[in-house]
Amino acid sequence: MRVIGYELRKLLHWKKLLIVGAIWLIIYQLFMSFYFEYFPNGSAVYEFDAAVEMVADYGPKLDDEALKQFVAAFEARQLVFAEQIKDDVRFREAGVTTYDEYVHHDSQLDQPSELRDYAQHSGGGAFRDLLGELYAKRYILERMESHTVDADWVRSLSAAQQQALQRIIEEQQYRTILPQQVMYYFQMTHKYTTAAILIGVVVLTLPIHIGDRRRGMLQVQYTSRLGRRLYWRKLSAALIGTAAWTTLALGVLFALLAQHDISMFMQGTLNSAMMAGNYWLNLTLAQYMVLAVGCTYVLAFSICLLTVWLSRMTESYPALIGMLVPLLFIVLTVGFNALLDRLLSLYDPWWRSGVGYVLLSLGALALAIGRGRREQRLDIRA
Amino acid sequence: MRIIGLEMAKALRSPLVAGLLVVFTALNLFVMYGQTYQREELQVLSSLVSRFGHDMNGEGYERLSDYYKSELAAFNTIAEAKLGRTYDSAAEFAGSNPQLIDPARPFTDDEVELTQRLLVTERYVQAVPELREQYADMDMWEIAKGMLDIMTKPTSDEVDRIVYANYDKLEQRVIALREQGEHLHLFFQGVVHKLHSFLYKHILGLMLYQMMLLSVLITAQIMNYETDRNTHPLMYATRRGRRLQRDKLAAALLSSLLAAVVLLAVNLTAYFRLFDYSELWQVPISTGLMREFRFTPYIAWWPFRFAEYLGAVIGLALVLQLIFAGLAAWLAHYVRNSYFVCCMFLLLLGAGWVVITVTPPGSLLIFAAYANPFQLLWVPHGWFMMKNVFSTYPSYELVTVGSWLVIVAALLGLARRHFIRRDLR
Repeated sequence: MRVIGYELRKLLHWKKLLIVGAIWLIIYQLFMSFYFEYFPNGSAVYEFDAAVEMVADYGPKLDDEALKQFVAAFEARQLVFAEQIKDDVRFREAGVTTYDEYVHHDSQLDQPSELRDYAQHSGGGAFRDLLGELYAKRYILERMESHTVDADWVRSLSAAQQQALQRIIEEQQYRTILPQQVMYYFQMTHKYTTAAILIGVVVLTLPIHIGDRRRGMLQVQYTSRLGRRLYWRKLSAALIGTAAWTTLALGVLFALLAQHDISMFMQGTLNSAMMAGNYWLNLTLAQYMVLAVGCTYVLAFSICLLTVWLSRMTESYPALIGMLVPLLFIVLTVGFNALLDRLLSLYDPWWRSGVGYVLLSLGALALAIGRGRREQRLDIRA
Repeated sequence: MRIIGLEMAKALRSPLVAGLLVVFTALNLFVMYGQTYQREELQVLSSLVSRFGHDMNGEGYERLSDYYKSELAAFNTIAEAKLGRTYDSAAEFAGSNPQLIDPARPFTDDEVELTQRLLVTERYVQAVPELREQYADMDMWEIAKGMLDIMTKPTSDEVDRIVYANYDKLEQRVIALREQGEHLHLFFQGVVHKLHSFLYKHILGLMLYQMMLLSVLITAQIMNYETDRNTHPLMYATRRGRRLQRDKLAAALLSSLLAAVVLLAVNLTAYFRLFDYSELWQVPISTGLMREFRFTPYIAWWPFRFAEYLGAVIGLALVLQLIFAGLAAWLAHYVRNSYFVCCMFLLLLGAGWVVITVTPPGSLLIFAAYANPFQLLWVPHGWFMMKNVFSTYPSYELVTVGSWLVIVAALLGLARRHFIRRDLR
């Protein structure tokens, strides 16, 4: 145990922690701060507010009764709009008396009528806010009502994918409330945090073996009482350090996420009609968060094991860094796309992300353990 | 000289450099192969240029449109025979008939090929007058105003004044460009193929990072070679002594350049073998056909031809390698461990990126913040051209690279003084 403690002290040396913290800050400033500063972003605020209202009124999932109530409430809000524009000259001139007429009064999408411009900007935004709300609700309602599986693109999917889509319809999985941007808010910030974690893991564990080797410590260590079992102590220290750093960074992420209250959507599921994609598993947002956190740990431990292994295999820092940078590059681009962005996506084979994680983690584990076993029989010069 | 060669060998003969060059080339080739599906269409333009030239300002365009009309007529006789009607344009035909890709189509393979060639030719014939019109209306002041308006943090009047003055200069350049007709030269159509950003941003941009990694690793390896192996006391005691560090610096800079040149030579040769630019070396880089999005035309500050522009970009990329290698060498003077050198360089890179987000855009410092070598990495497809409001002025690249060369030289001078007088330990 004491040796693990000493190794940990080297692993989490304050200078290295400073570097890793600075990398975290840079990634936060460059890629993450936007999502925290602008949430909900722009006109999506109406959709977000409408969704919050719906959860408060009907719970996380709309049954047929609730949907009827929602339609009724929506129509009542349309009447409010009709009342508001009744005395307005501009609307009367354009012959618009109801919300429906307003939506359809011009058909040229690229050339909005002057009335739209007027409605958006006049009267201190009196119309704008109500219109935004109505548009958001209309959009939600359209998505909820028009969920079908006989579109053209569905036919090009595999049988399993079509069945999954069928199940989404039959079980009315799409009736839950989870706005896409809430999902983005978590997904994007989680992704960049994971990137920072992986870079940090590499920076922290990279010198673990190579440092000793450079100082010619191997012979001394081999002859000590602990001897070659030191490899396993170092490995456990690296894993403990990785776990600590990952937990700390994820803790910071969740502390930052708490800036905006999204707790009401925790029961909303991935296959909600308000989401852009479909997923193999209809997890709730809370379950998805747990899964994503698990994925981060698997990635962090895998990268840690690979780094430990490479650190034992190479002789010079430049060579080691020259190997680790391309490796990290591939993990952060191709790897993240397959393993995080499209995790569980219905449009990929269901086994893809799972197999990716298994291959990566088992491969890294096999390399690190295999090296540890060889360590016992190794010639002293190697 | 011999010593420099021997020092260079320390880095270049290690399997690291060769291995990375192979890995990077494989990666780049993989990226390039992703675009080879466009090659057939690109070939159509090459054959058009070889027949009519790329200058569409006068006679060339007339000959091209005559050719197009005769091809359209040929197509219409086929359409008349097979479908019983004629079309005003190939696009009209393609829009209403999916028959070209239908296996049961009534056309022979030759006729399909003719139609496909006609479709491509038509795009270019139609693009030229549109571009003439759009470039005639282009107002740089409007573009500057639009970009200043959408900024989340407001700029001050002082900054605005400089930005507008710079865009006035750009306006002068656009007027000259219009007079010369630089915008009406045939090139692979940007809106369709996006080959300018593919070559300069995706291929060269990726290579910039690869070259940066190579130069940092090579520099760290050469500069710290002695301390890594505990041979530095020996080196201090030799006749040449600590002056060896100067040779090491020269060796590091030269090897970084050498690695970069090899990488660029191999990959660009591969690129230009995959994509045939042979007819287009003399096309002005500011041609309107290069443009990929409506409001971001590529307007170079000088009337570069394609080949000249490529040369200028490669030159700037190589000078950047000198700066990166110099910065790494400076760090290596103080930090004796090449692992920490790489970490510190990573932080420098991050700082160079972050500095523009933490500088208030109201102060004049924002121009200085943009003028750092790490910012150049973001926009290799916009070098020597109009880009961000704070980096659009003719001397941006030269000022950035020049001032940073001076800064790096000064830092290295200080580091040398420190190193020469350092205690033996």
